Amino acid sequence: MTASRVTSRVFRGLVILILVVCAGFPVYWMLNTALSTNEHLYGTGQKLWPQLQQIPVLMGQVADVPLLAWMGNSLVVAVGTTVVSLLLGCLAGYALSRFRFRGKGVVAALLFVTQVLPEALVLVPLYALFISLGLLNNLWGLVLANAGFALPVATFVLKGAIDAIPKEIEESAAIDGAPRASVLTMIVLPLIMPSIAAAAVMSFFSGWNEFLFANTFLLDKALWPASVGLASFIGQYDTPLPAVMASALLFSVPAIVFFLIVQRKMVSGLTAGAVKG
Amino acid sequence: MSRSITRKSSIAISVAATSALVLAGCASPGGSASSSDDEVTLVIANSQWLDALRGENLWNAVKKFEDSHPGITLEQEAIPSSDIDSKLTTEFGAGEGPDLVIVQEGLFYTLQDAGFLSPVGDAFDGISDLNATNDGGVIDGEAYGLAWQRAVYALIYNTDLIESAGATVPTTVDELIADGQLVADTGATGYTGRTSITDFNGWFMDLQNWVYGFGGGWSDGTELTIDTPENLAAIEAFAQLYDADLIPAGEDMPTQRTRFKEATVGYSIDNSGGTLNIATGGTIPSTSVGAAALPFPEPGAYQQLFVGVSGKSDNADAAQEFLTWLAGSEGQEALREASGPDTLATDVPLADDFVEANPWAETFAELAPNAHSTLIDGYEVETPQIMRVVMEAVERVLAVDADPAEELAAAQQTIDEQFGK
Amino acid sequence: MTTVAHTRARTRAAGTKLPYLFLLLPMLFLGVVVFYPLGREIWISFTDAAISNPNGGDFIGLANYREVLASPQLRQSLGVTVLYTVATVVASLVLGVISALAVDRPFPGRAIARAILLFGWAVPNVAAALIWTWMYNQQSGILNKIVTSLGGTPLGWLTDSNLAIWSVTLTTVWQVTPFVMLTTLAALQGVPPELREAARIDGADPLNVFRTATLPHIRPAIGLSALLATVWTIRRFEIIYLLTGGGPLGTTSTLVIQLRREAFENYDLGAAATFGVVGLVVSLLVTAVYFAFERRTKEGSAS
Repeated sequence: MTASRVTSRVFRGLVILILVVCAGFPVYWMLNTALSTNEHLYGTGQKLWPQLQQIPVLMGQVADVPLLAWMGNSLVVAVGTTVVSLLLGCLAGYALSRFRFRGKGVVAALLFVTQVLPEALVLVPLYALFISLGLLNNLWGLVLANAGFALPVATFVLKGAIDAIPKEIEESAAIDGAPRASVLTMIVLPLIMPSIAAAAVMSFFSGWNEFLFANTFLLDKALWPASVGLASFIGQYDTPLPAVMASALLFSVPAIVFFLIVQRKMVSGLTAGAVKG
Repeated sequence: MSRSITRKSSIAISVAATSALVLAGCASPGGSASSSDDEVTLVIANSQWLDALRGENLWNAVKKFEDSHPGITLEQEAIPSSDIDSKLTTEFGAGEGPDLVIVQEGLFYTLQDAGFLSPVGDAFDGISDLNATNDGGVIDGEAYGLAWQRAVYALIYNTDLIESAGATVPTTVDELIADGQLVADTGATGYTGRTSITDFNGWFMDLQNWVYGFGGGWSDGTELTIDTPENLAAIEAFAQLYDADLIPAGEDMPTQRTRFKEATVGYSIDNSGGTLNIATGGTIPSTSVGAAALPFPEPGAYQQLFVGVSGKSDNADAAQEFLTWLAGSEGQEALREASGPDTLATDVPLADDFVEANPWAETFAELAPNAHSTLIDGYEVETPQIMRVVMEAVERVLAVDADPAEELAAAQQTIDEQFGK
Repeated sequence: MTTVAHTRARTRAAGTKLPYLFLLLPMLFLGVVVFYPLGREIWISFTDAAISNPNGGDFIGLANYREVLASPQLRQSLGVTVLYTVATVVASLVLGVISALAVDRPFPGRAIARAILLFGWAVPNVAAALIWTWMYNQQSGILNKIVTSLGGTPLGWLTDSNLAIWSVTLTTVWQVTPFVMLTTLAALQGVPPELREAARIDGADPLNVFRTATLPHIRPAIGLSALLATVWTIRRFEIIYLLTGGGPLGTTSTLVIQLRREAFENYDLGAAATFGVVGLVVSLLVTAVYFAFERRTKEGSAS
């Protein structure tokens, strides 16, 4: 038994290694490319290891770019999207999971339809709508547009999680005389923390990386989130690859940091013992 | 147990939160030009504002307008060049948009055709020295735009590289292939140019050089002349160059330009804007960049930007004033300094020190007047759709060795069905 | 003192209005931001709207549909979309679930491993396109360098009409797998560890432990991520547009790429909307299949 335990551990380790290398290599290559000179890239050949002596040169190039301002805008959009999606998603997810009511299927279907829509399809009408609502050229308008597409995802993830919780937990609380809403906040939410974390990451990422709406609805360069700022690097004549890669890496950092913070909630065993008690 | 959060209050919280967001959005100031009593703000959209090389200089040149026109402030709307088509058409289609646009010919014609631009002829009443670059701005007898910059195409080469390879400046495609091969034999890249439909717009504009260069054209003004011997010769010549394996396969033009910048490329066909980019800030010194006429019997093509005024602008008068200033000597001088080698709406000569630092620039100035538009005469707005059919045919010729004559004939048929007037 | 039965009845009665209340705000919000524009788009597909006046097209009935459905572009883009979607979703599901299982239980460096596995999703589309294009570069890209050092000839990753769609799929899988991993990982946290321990103690090998103890708990999550991954891939635009623009020879031209071409190259908003509606219908079909499948498994497992 011990031998098979060891082989299974080694096997697991190998699988993890392969997955991590495949997933991480493109980003490693971004780092490597950022730290290469144009001479290397287009002439003598890109080195396999990052050329750390390029760091000062790179910092100089990146300093020209209003990256912090862009990321600040991205943060507003991402956080706003996450807050709206989670708040409304919890409500909607709970409703879809726990209640039987007329029109439930329709609601679920409608929520779903939002996911099959290509953004380009709704771009023009949404643009016109935002003009009349005064939401154009405005980060909050972006939050609302993004949340429109992120909310259903959060709803479905949270609904799935709530589905997995046995109803007895809530019913025992209801017997104690607790109103529905507190059951939701005090009992259910803590139990579905891993899925809330997952939904938070998804909403944050979708807001952080969103490009099409940001590109179309924002007129002011000062309001650009980093996704648009990055695209503006792609010049008509040339694309400074090292600088773009460096900016892209810096831009990806907050998203990863957010994930690292939130993923600590993805710890198993939260539901264990809840039913037996 | 105390239940501090009741049902009512949790719902109230979420309603309040979302309403706050919506209200914050509606209340925040947004949008473009707003005018107080005397102050007028003109928003000018251009993708060049983002150009690392010339963007700032161009904007400062334009800003000089404010010195002589107090009370009018200029604001820029910077849109990445890959998105400017979709963004402007979306904005205008919804009744919004900037006051002035500086756009490529193709988009200019599309905007005019959609009724988004207003006539500007009155702005040039007193100005007599507008050159032929402005002709394209006249549509159906009315002037809708002022020429901003014309970037003509030429054959460019790395003087040091070709010398050490024993090559010369070619005057025909055969010579170009032979010379390119000599350069390739030294380990460098023989020729750079677009060969992929990924950059569809760029590719079809490049190809027009070959088409016009061989005496061909896609229309005679009324009929679409796709399947002609001259066009066939052009495509066959391009296929010949492609088959010589001198071009880095599948690379986009920005990457290939950077190769040229790093002095690893012998020849290319590029416009003045691209050449300025190559000659500045890279390994290759500008004095090692040479330019010559295209290796074709006839002149080639140009890219052109026009300045237009939005029909929905609230500040039409101020916009016209801007155009008048731009077309006058003050505006032209300011623009000349910032425009590098491009040809302008009037024949302002290149600055001496610029020519000294960039000897290749004069060739472009010479070639500009005789070149042709990349748009199809009489079918300007439909050009991308027509060229889509053509370029897909060219793609097949290159990729699967399809017969060019057959492809052209098939293309003529398809295009006649869709666009036959 | 109320009896248990009385309380239950009260809760049930109070529950009838509550779902509508809970759903009011979300649905209202979605109605404005999503459904209204969608309705307009569907309307536009029945008109000949052009960019000059997106709202002013004349009603032309099914003319757009007749034209689009008969066009060779539709047939090709439909085929490409199906191939691209199936390949991406299958690969992402397999890799995503394996990744989730691999990083579920604690080991030193687990947080870092999880973060690295998420990179594909964290990197914005523009950057992903740039780096993958660079890696796929035929002359200087690292992938061809690896190929040639192994003795092969350089491949046309994005230019070979037989290879391009697979290269695009590979990049997409890199981007989508983290999402599947995340959803599955969250679901794995809800699996009671005692079940797994019990199965293992009973002498079952890891595969059986997985099948009996773990899989039933994560199947809904896998199903959900399969469905979402499918519909998202059907509508995925930017990465394809940036990598190949729909070429070579149209082999990566999905329905959405065609949509954009109609809207912003041909300026035919009506036709663009039609392509969009076709994509919508395809996605809805997929959804219907999924829900039917789900209902059947639910009925099957309700024992």
